[in-house]
Amino acid sequence: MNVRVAMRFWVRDLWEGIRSEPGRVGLSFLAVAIGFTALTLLLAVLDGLRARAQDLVRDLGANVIAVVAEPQGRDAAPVLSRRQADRLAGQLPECRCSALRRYDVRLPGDKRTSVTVLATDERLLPLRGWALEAGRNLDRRDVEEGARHIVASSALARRWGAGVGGLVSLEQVSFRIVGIMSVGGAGLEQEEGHSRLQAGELAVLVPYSAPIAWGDETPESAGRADAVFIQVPPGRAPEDLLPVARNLLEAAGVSWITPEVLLRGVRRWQQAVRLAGGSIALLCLVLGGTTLMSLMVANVRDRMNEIGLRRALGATPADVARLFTAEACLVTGLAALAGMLVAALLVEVVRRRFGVPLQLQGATLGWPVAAALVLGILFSHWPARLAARISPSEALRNE
Amino acid sequence: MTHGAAVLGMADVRKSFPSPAGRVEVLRGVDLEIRRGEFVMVTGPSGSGKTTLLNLAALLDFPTSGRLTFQGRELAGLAEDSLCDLRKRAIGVVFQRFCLLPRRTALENVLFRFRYVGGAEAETRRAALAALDTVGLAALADRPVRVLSAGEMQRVAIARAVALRPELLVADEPTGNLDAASTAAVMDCFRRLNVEGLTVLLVTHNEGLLRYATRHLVCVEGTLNP
Ligand SMILES: Nc1ncnc2c1ncn2[C@@H]1O[C@H](COP(=O)(O)OP(=O)(O)OP(=O)(O)O)[C@@H](O)[C@H]1O
Ligand SMILES: [Mg+2]
Repeated sequence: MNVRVAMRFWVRDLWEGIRSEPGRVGLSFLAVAIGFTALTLLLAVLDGLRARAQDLVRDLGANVIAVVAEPQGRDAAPVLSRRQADRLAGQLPECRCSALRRYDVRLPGDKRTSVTVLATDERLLPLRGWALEAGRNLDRRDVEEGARHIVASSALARRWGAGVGGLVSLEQVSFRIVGIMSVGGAGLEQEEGHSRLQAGELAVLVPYSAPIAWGDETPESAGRADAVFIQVPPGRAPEDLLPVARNLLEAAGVSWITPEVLLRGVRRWQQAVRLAGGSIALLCLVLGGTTLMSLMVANVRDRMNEIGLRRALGATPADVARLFTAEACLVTGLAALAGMLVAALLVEVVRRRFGVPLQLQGATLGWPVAAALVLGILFSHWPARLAARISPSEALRNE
Repeated sequence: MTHGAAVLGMADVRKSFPSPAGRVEVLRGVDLEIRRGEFVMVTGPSGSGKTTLLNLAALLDFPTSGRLTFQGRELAGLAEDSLCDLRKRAIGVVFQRFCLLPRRTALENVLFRFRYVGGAEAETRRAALAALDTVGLAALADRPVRVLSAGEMQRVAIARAVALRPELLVADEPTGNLDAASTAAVMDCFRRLNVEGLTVLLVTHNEGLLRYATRHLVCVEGTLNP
């Protein structure tokens, strides 16, 4: 059949088909659209969780294992030391290792805000994946000479009103800013139990060898580290290296944090949402589909004459079934679009108003479209078969 | 008047339907041969089986027993697809209540004849317009059918039935819903088409129409009598 003529017939048939019973079609549309709104909202929550998981891993640093000392008394013997980190670096030459000691220092004239000072070496910044916005990172010489150089977070530099080369003082010791960095997002901050990993907005890196006035070092705690980071080379999973590193470090009283550990919480949420939200969305869709189906059965009964006419003009049973299936798919397709639109609006409102990290990614929207087709085909199967099985003479009997 | 080859043949055709009280025999051994160019009219009391007979003639139903042939071909062994092909081109049907698509224009209704046949756009359009011209409605081609008079509607339905120049035109009480003037207009259409060579099988309750026919049969209790 001539394609253009066929297309025109189809468009006309579908258009008239969905207009023939506007009430029923509208009702089916509504029922199915509600299902698709639910489905799209579920996808938005899952997308949000996925994005959150990515944030978390990015904040830790790609392929990074963090070894964090558990809180302990001031005078207790250190559980982690820089020496251990150096030894580990020697034993795992393919990995990048860095240790840090963390202090909270108050800003002069501001008793409430504190700056996170990370006393470390030049390897921490690239390892954590923090970006340099200006200037340079700490280098080997800074560390060897104990230079009073710092890399400040951009928020802190803004607060100080200082740029690269500027002099600032921390607890009466003056430092020169050599670089400005953007520390990772706030992802880790919200994750319970990992607060010692976070740098916060206001942070500086100083060479661990720099003379610092605020340290509470005793001879026992000299060389102590609060955290050691190990970056596994690309292509290897941090989890695989974990047992080796555990053996080598021989540290007790520390927690081992890998991307896997960080993601555990998010994963639990993903699973819960997928199960609970998924079954709600599925139920809504099935409910919509059932409504569509029952109204279509009524439609078939009301359109007997039309079916009879089509059969008298040579339509095969398959032609008749196709017509009803196509009409159903048109309704579910349009309902899916409407449902997605409503859901997208809701997502936007919820995100703006309540700051809930919902998100909708373009590719995700392929699912509702595919689901619309499946729903249309599935739930029109019975009405379409019913229509196809009516014999032409029977369809025309009450003509 | 001489007539051509056999278009439709029935030999001892029986048709029964299941009912709560057992099977009802509606057609009880019908013998019929319609040749090309004939205008056969069937009358008979209500419930005698005329519509059942026409459904068989229009290949919309199958006999319970007996031989039904179309253009010499036995229909019993025919697959559903071949049957649909015959319905597409070889047979035109006109219904008592027109069976038009109310939202479409007269021309679009006639074009619907090509819905499952296809064809080039210009060609189908030309054929549809020619068919409308045959029934004298070329001027109303672009009117929505719901605003037409009953007689005009039935003529649109006739145009649709003949747009593909079928072998056989089957009509079940085509004037049953029409007044005298419309009836005359519609019957004139049938006569003109018949004169041009179309074979017509028509059922009516109106004895006054018998003058249009070349042969008259009476259906009584499921049998056909001259
Ligand atoms: N599908 C069917 N199932 C059961 N009975 C049927 C069926 N079709 C027709 N009948 C019965 O067959 C008989 C003949 O019906 P048919 O419609 O052929 O009569 P008719 O001669 O066309 O009558 P009318 O002049 O009133 O249109 C009727 O008693 C009808 O009830
Ligand atoms: Mg009848």
